[in-house]
Amino acid sequence: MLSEMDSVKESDIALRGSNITLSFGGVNALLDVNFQIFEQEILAIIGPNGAGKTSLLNCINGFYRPDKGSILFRGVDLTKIPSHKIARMGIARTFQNIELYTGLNTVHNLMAARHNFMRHGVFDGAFYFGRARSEIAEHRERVEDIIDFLDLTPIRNVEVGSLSYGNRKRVELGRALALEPQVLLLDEPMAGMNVEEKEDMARFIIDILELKKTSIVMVEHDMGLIMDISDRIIVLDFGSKIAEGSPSEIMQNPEVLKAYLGTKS
Amino acid sequence: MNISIKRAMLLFVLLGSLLLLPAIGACGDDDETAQEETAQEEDQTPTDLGKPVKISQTFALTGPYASQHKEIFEAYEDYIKFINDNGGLKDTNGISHPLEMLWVDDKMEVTTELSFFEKAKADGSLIHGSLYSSAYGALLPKAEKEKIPLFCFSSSNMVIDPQRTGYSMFPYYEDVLGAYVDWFLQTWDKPSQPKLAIIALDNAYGKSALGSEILDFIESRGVDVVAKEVVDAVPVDTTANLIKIQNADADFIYAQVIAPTAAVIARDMQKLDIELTIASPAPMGPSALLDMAPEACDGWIGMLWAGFYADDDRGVKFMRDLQTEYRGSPMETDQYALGIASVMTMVEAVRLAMEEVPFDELSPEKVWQFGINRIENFDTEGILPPINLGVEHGYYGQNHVRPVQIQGTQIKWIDDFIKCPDTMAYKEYYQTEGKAIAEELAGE
Amino acid sequence: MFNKPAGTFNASYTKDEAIVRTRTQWGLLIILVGILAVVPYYGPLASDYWINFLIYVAITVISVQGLNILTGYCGQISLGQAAFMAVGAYTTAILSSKAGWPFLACLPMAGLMATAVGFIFAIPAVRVKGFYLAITTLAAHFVIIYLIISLEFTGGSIGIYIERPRIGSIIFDSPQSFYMLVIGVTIVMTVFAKNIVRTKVGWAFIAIRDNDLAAKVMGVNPFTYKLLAFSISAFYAGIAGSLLVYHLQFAHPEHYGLTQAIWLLGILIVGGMGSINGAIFGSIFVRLIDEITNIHISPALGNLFPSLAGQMSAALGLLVFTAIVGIFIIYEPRGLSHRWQLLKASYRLWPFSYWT
Repeated sequence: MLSEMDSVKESDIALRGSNITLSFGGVNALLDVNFQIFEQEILAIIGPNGAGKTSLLNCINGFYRPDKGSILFRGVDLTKIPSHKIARMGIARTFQNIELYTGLNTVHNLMAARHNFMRHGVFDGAFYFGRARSEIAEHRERVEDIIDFLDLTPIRNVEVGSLSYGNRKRVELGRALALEPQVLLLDEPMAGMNVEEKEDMARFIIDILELKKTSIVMVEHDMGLIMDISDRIIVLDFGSKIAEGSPSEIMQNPEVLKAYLGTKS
Repeated sequence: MNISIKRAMLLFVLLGSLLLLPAIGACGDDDETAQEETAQEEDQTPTDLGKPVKISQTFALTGPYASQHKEIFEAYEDYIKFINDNGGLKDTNGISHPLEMLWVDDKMEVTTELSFFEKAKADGSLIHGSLYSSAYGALLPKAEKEKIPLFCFSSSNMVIDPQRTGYSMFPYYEDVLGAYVDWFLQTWDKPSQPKLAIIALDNAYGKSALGSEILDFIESRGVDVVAKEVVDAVPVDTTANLIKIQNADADFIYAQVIAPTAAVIARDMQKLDIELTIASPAPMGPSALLDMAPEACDGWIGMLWAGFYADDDRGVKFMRDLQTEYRGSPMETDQYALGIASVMTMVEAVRLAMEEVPFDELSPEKVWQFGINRIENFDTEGILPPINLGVEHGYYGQNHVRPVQIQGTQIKWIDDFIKCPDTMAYKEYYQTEGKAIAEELAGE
Repeated sequence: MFNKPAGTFNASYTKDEAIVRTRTQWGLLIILVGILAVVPYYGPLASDYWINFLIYVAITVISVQGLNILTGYCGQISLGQAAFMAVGAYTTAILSSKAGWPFLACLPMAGLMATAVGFIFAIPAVRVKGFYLAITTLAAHFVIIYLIISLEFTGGSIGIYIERPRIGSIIFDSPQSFYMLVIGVTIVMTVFAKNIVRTKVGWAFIAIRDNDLAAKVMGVNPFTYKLLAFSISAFYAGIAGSLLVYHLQFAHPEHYGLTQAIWLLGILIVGGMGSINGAIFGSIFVRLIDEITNIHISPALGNLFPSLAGQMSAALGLLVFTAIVGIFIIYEPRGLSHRWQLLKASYRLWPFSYWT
């Protein structure tokens, strides 16, 4: 397995985390975690509750500063720069507990996410003339593409605060896509959904991978779905990486079985 | 929708009850006076009573000055009742007109003040009064434009800068401080240069004691200002300020503060065992201070312009009679005295104008021209020294103060009226250039 | 939930983003502006008293629009709005009375000066949130007012008189002409506010308000945008302060008390935070109630029950204001603008209004 990894070309790696250690008051949330995310793959991070999955995502997009280690993306160490700059570099994410702009409707939630691509400032904006007007029309087109893509058309003018849970999850995914990310971090995108919604979401994730050429990192609990759609899986337990590999390899990994089922190896 | 309608109804019921509550509460104890009033009206034949003559005045019945302004408000009410009970004001045809006061609680908000000014103007008020300088300043340009006489209780220097149609009958705060310094120097017999400490309230009124002109004046009198302490209106503790004053070796203190501030200062002075001569101008109110700090304030001096502190005074007798008549029992506060003096002068201006101008032609401008400008040596029953307004007198109502001292549980006059020195350079300005402006206005 | 008028379809995204969409709406808008222009000359409001009131409401609208951008849209509470108005007012008073600047130079300068001061105070303020932010802006208020009282060139506790505004040879001397000037500025400032909140900057503000965590992840720098919100809000306050000082013709530190700042916040709550209409509704509603209670009801009640006059009027004005704000917070936290939206929606969906 390791030899296989070494043979990978450097240019295929979108993001590489080395020796990431994060602790909160003596408790290690992450301990010496190494990982790579390849271009155009779906990487799933699994593990029992409290294993450090969300902490890892939080380190990648700058909410947490690791005590040790580095996360290299396009030659830049992400642990040194603030969240909003990381977003500008092309790393988007969704949250476990949906974090939308509740006061805006679907279209404007996505428009707000086009922030990085719009150049007009407060003066253009105040006059609503020239650059502001043309830019908004232009970006509205992009946003409508995403709305079509995610089947959000019926709810495009509805304030997201009043949407159903499943729809909000989808709007949040749309908002992340509006950022045109190169790496997309999804924190439990299917939590709390019924089977039908989960299947829809899985289809969207695969479509994103294929159409938008994005690397996707996904934290999820639904093992069946993960085994179906992910290319590789990382398993965390008590902050340490205990396994890495293809779904079939993980299924048979004794360490993983022990962590999940507590059976002897 | 049903729920929202219910909510809207609830809102209205709540609002309505809020408006009604004080009214309901008031019903009980008010019946008697209402009956008396109707009885009095029936006594006079309808032909005797003309249309009411209106004057307008604002009060800040909400906010830090509320207690003072309430006393002034009561003074206005009482005096107007007194005038009406004595036949109102007679016009050129001998028909008497009742006097009516339009008033508002402006909550210390200049916009309410301005709004009320416009309303009073529309309702036919002949003369307008405001109590403090920040509101007065905003009214003055409008009053000048329409030649509406405007009175102000505040005596900060901006009132007459330049003189227009605005008046104050009280000396400027700066001049009062000047008078205090002069008064203190009379008894100063030590060879050393006397040292003054000033405690100023942290607002416009307080800070006027720290203006450069008055400081120059004090210096010119050979007095050294060794400490300038600024305190909050209601401070928690003034020990630090007082220790500074003590360390600066001051000989006497002037505190341009209000009563709650003075109470804290008095308490802390007692604690630190500081026994220096300390004085405050009239807005402090010795009677209020005596209530708040009964023992600590012993010896505090007030540089007043009117008060209740000598039983043989004509003015005091007049005011006591008023209060017994309309309030049941005397209140004896300085602010009431100021209120009476002010409303007396305003009514006198209207009365003088009515002697000259037929009732139908009465206007604020006529009151200004024929009323205010003819106020000469006007005697406010001895409450204030004679008042002179109008062009010939430089608009300067009167500029005397009278020192009063808290002695045990008593407050006593300790000297007669003192004429204040002119401490401010602008006064020369208003007596030359300002006078010219006013003459021009009057001549039009 | 809030639909477009039935049968209205937009052929382009620009049209879809437009504020005024149908001919009826254009018509109504023109009628409204027409009414505003005619009000001081004909009809029941054509008196000095009501014009004075309308001028003050318009000035309030400008200041509340600024606060709305900061508090309503960006979610940052501020108690410094009155002090920033004072900065605008004093800039105008000093430039106009001492340097003789005309209106058109004083007005933007007042806005810019307030912006600069607002920016300086915002630098520490944007680092803290909620309660601490309120205290920081409170400090800004006291520092500014203290400086105005203490400095020599601001006229200290005496104040500064200024002349009526003039543009070229036109002097806005009559209440009517000054009303026109103020309404003009108010309309422009309101349009600017509406445009700011429906473009990139506005979306960034809302992102920070609704979810500053998500805003960061979506590439919005909260620090920069909070600073910007403070600056814009101070600019509005500066313009409002400048107009107010032209209206009063007198600048005095006591005109810009802390209570003013609290009133502005109250108006925003009643009108509806995060709504341009709300700022207008709130200003009209609260000022009207305040005016009626203070100028009409309270003295009348006082005359009716002389023994209670002092206490009653003292309580009434503030009680009514507090009660209104309280009632809105409990029963309609989204303010009058939300009521207005519901009304419009039910009108459009009639006769199936119960759907809303």
